[in-house]
Amino acid sequence: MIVTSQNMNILARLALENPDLLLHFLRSVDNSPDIVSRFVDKWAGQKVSPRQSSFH
Amino acid sequence: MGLTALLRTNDQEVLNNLGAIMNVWFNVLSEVKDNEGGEYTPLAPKFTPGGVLTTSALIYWRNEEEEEDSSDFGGTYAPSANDRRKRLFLQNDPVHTTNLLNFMKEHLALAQANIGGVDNFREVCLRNVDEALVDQMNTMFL
Repeated sequence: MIVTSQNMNILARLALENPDLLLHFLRSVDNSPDIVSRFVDKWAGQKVSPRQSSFH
Repeated sequence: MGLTALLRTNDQEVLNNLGAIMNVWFNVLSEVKDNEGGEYTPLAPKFTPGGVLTTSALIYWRNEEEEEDSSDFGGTYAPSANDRRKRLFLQNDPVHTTNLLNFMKEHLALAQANIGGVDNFREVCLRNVDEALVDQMNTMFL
């Protein structure tokens, strides 16, 4: 799954509203056993700040 | 906030990556501290029984200067009704109304409770997390 900053914002919003649904979504689009780990790792690896981590 | 919210799932894969999540917490909170807490005056101050609710970058909002629209000719103009509605809508967004530090603390406490207490949490989730990072986060959370 290609995670861009644009769809990351949408996924971040989904995580905030319904994190279980986000994990379900991730596992439904990619059946590799470590998809959640890779996703969290990639997300956490991005340079974030309070400003950049907002959704606008 | 999105990353932190994943702790609500109590998913083992998420908990295994707690170190990465805590790294983000530390970076974000450090940046806020570096900016002298990012204190600002909110557009619509909230009044509480104790007085006006103070805010900081832990509840993120853009500078008022950024809200002023500019024309092609270099001048500025007052925000339209649509702009004001949009701003009000965004101000009610959790991103702007949630204290980030409290949000992190609450989710950490929830994750600890879900896994059976602080000791169990430390043993299961923090075993792969850098001790120095855990100490730094403990200091931040004080």
